[in-house]
Amino acid sequence: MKHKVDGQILVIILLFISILSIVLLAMISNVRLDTKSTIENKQYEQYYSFGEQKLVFAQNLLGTHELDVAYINNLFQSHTNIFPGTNPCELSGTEIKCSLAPENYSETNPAEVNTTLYFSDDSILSLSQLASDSELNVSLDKNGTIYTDTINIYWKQLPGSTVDWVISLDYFNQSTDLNIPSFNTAKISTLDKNMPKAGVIIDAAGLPITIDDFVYNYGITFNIANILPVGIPSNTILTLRIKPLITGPTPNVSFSLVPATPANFPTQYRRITSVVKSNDISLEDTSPTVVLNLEYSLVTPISPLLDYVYRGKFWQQN
Amino acid sequence: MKYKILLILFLAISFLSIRVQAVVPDVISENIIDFCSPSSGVNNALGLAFNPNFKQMIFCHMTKRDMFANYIPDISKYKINVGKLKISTTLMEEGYLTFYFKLVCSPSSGGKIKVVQGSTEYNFEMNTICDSQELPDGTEYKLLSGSWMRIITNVIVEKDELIWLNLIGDLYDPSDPTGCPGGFRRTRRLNGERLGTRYCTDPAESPGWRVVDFTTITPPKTIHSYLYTLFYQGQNRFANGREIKPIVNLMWSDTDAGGFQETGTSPDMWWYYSGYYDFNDPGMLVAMTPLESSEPPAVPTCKAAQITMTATPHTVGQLESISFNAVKATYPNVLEFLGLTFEAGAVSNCNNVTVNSQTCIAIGNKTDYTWTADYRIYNADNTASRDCTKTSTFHIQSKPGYLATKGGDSYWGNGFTMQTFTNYLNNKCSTNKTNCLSDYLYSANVIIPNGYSLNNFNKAQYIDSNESYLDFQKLSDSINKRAEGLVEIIDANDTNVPFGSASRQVVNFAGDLTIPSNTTCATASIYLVSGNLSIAPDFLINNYTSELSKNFGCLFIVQGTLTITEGSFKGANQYDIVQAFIVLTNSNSGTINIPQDSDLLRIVGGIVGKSEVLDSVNRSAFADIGIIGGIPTITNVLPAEEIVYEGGRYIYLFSDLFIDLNTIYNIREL
Repeated sequence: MKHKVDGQILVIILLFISILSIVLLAMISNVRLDTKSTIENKQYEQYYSFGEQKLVFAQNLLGTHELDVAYINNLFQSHTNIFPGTNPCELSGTEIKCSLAPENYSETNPAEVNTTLYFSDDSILSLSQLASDSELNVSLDKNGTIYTDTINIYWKQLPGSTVDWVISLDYFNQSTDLNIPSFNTAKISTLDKNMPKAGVIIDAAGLPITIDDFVYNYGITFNIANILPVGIPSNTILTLRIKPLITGPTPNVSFSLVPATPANFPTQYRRITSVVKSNDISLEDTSPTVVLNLEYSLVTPISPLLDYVYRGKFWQQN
Repeated sequence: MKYKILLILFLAISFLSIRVQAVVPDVISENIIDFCSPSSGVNNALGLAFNPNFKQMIFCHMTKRDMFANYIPDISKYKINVGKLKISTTLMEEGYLTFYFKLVCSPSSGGKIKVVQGSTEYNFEMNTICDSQELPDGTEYKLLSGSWMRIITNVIVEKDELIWLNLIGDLYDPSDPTGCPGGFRRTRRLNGERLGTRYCTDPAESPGWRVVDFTTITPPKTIHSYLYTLFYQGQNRFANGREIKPIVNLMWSDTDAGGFQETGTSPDMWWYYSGYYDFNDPGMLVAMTPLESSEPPAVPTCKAAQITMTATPHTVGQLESISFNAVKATYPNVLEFLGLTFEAGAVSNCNNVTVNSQTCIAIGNKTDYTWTADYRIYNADNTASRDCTKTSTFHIQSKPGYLATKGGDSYWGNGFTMQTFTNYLNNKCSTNKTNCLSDYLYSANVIIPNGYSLNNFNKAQYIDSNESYLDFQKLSDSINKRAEGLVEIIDANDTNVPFGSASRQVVNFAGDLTIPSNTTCATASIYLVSGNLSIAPDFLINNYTSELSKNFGCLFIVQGTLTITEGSFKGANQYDIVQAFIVLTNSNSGTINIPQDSDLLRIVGGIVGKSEVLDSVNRSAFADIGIIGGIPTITNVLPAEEIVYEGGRYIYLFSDLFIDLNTIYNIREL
């Protein structure tokens, strides 16, 4: 009877030790996972910062200058601390690809990373954030020929927000009513009586339209030639400007401006992409790869103040 | 065992903690008076009903007495502490209700209820005024006729100190809550009868009054606290501050002892007590009546300060609407308006007419007109009166003028304040769209009538985001930085302002820049003016009638104010012209000054400022005022000033210099 009791005690102790072991193993495993995750998050943040710095620097250097391999290599040569390597850029299809020399991604971390930059221009103008009341210039002059065809604007209207667009076309009118040459501006807007009301954009599959990874649910279409007053030649057109008027909690809008005939439309949008990843092949599976896009208009944005004939509180009699 | 003790200790502490939380004292203590929010009528059970002249001076009350069981007040609204005897309600007129306490002060004490016009409160000012304002004994008084008011004021005196007041209206009798017809209340009525008499009382019915000498009452010595109630009813005429004789009717009740009990036998005095006071009792009543002196009536005098006269606006454009309003300034309860009259030829088509206010159309053609308010002022007891008049002036601008904008976007932060302007828009814009404002029109104002812009784009209640761009230093720094290596940057002063340079320039001008008449802009330059800008028309672009003008333009960014002076006289329907785009960063009002002139003014370019800035003195347009069907109207009117948009010129010339201060680019992760 005593042996039987001893045996029972032994079984209970063994069971207890087994459960304890399982619990301990699970805890150790979780700690290892947490540690690995923390390291990856930190690495990701550093890669992001690394790529972002190169994008902003590249945009400041290049600006709206024409994309040219030799020009970019020359620029980079003057800033090898940011863009290491000798002549790292080459033409790759319609893009310019710059494979920078491996470098340490921080002073305290000797691990090397590889950064590749891609430069491309597009006639489709897409921006993820255009502020309310700001004014974006759109180039219509392609090699001396003014684009007068149709243009579509797609945007994402968030719940609770309303986006109206004012589209201005500046031209030099040499024969005004007063026979005084002057700069005139023709305007249309999504709230014009004659303008089709902006509505939900559904493609053939019944889904919102996706352009450059942006998903849009609203859109309008207008024709440049139709904006111009009758009798005004298209070669007098100087500038196309678009301005969003946004009400609601989000004071900016993501949008794409898509010409109906891109071949006739000048490029006006530049995209610089950075791909940052570890240079250690053995870490390919565990190290993050961070891909960032920087996008900007090739036409310098003018001050939105120049769009007003009058702006103020009121005009009153004294 | 030790663990058991610990466990018990733990449980005990937990229990105590809960108890401590549970016994947090109520904010309502014996020394705090609780008032509920102002109610809308006398039907509210316990309340203070004032004369209709006082409007909405009804507020209910809660004493937490058992007697008022039918009444459930919102005691969270007002809590009044000792020494801060403030009662909230909405008062419409200003004056003083005088009351007296003859119990505490020797020979008496009292104070005033200050009624503040437009305020949401009035205060009991517990000044000792008995010596100076007490009425002489032996004077006969009578109750004033007319409208009535009642004040019942509970005054608790504890150890001979006034510690708080409260106000009540009719007293409910909870012992007999039924038996009254609909709308009537079971009350103890204060109409000259004993309080113990029960009535079904119409809440609108005015109770009577009684005369009791409060000074003869001796409170019981054996108790510590007394609750007195001052009751006042009568017409609210207090012009000379001497009309109220404190007459006392003391009553005391103890609901614990079975309702009101009465002591005293004099027909002029009752007082009630139960030998001790507890705070469940409604207390004593002291009745005060407004009385009329038997002294010969004094005829009041007319004083300018008795009424206030306001014409809105004080300066009105011809054919614009103007409102006249006369209001009582002092003694509002002994003054009545008889009517308003206007100088001949000043106004017509008056509507919304009352005895003291009118809204009319200004039709006069001279600057100063008079208007008169006739009123009558009475003495306190309505036995004598005097008719008075008071005269004031207003101004009519015979040719009011207005601003129009052509092309471009316009943003009117506050909408349209000029009646002539809206008349113009309603008359002219509706028939010819070229007379409308701008291509597009925005306003932070609620109302923009439909169709005021050329393209019918009227975005109201819209606040644009471009205010932040109007910073002189930021704009100046940005433009100078962009100009480096691109165009010539020069510093200028009064003697070398360059308007004829063939090349593009950025001109930094320190101080005030004055541009003489007939200066020509023969350059493509941005002028950064740190002071004020003054332009004497004409200021034209060189060769403005020729295509050669395409490459000229003067853009001014001004930290100070803009003045466009008269320039040379050209004649009827002729324009002074300024061709420029002007950005004003000053945030003060009166930033734009355009003195009156017989010429019209046309600004070709644009004027942009902060939403707080743009005021103007309009020029006198050659407005043609006509009469159609006996009603003045506007015909063939030209805007006194018009701004014609030509922002395209400055975009064309300066798109590389005058850029958006916010770089537009996006970074996103794929």
